[in-house]
Amino acid sequence: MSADTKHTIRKLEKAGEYELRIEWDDGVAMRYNTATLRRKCPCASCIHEWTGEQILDPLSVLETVKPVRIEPVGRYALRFHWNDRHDTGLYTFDLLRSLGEPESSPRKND
Amino acid sequence: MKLDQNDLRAALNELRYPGTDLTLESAEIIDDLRVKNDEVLIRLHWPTPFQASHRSAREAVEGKLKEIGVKKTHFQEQVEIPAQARQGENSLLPGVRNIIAVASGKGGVGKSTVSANLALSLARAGAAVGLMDADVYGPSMGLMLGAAGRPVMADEKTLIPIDAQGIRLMSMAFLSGDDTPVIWRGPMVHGLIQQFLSNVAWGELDYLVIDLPPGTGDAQLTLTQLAPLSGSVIVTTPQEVSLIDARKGLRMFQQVNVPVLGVVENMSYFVDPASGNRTDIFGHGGGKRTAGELSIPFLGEVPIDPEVARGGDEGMPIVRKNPESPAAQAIAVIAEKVAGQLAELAIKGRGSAALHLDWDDN
Ligand SMILES: Nc1ncnc2c1ncn2[C@@H]1O[C@H](COP(=O)(O)OP(=O)(O)OP(=O)(O)O)[C@@H](O)[C@H]1O
Ligand SMILES: [Mg+2]
Ligand SMILES: [Zn+2]
Repeated sequence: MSADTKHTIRKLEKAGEYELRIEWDDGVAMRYNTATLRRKCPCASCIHEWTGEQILDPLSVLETVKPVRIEPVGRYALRFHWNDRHDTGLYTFDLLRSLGEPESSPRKND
Repeated sequence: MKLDQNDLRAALNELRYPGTDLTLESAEIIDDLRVKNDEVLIRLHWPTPFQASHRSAREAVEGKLKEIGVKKTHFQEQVEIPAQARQGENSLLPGVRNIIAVASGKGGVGKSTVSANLALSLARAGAAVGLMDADVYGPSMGLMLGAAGRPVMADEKTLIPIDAQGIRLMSMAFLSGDDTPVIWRGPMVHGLIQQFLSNVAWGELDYLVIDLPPGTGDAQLTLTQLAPLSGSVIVTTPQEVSLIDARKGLRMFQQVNVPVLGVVENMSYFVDPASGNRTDIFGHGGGKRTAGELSIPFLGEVPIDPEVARGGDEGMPIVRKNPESPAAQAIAVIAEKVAGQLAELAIKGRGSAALHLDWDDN
């Protein structure tokens, strides 16, 4: 076994009212629609801990859901405080990496 | 020959801080540089507290400058241990520049011994050091450092660490109120650790060493998730069982992205004081091999020395009791490597963006 490479976040920014942008340590940049991200909340009240089934009804999440605040947890996850008052989801970097839409072309000198 | 700043900087360009790959120039260790005729005044900010490193860097600077015709170099030196970039605003342990977790996959391998001596080595070099005995199952730091007394409360919920041989010490033992081991259960452990991280007035510290409980269970995971750890040190003995468990420790830290500073092989070999013969009682070298396999640094091997054990029992750790002994020297080298790596991490992480975002402010 060799030390597996985990990705860390280099930059976290608001790209639009409903769009988050994350730049990873390997230079890959990804975009996230905020409502889509909220629908993927991994917390115990949104996803059944044992079965992995989704408890949250995706239709109940409005398109206007966006974060109020995002904060780091340790060195491995982000906690989202959503404007629908939900704030129990810890999004690990691994999860975020798997949920993002890669940007098609790298943005110029940012 | 007329020298200017650029000549000097070019001459010093390649120099590195001992034990790191930081160049004096890019790491801003050279804080200021002035030339007057053929004399130079150079101001240095050392990123680790060890004088031997300062001396060898200073000599290298002097040598290089002499080569280009500088007659005399005046030094102004200051130790300034760099703080790790924090990715949050409301992070725990705010005044602490570096947080080192000492872990082992298995109990009894000498984790607490290494923690105490590592902390003392850093403190003896002049750093401000704290030691957190987070071993909920068997706190032992009070004894090892011969610390009597209990921490006082600064206010209703804030504890002031006690002073133990120049180290600020807090132990889980101080919380439970007596010395009988307490069986803490999962959720209690979580609460206790949270309290421990938020309610201790550490003040300004260059290094906080945390002695984790042995193993890779709930308490360890909670700590690694909650505490903003800068790096971890994994202690093992040369035995295979211990090495297997060390791998588990490594995986635990990788899962939460805590850099592993390296592996220490404790009780590595025995030198018979009478004959000077060396015996590898447990088969030495496994720590180094494992570190190689896992591509993490190997920090060093500490020999078996009855004086180490005695020092722990008497409350006088070996680096103080007998700093010249091979075991103490080994730990001092480990401390230098740890400090060097932390400086590297901190300096390279400078300017890394905060992962904190207030949506409507942007
Ligand atoms: N290098 C050494 N030479 C001789 N004895 C040692 C050495 N390192 C540790 N010991 C002794 O081995 C015993 C276990 O060490 P220590 O308490 O530091 O281990 P630990 O990993 O913290 O154990 P625990 O799992 O109980 O917390 C102690 O009696 C200690 O004094
Ligand atoms: Mg111990
Ligand atoms: Zn949720």
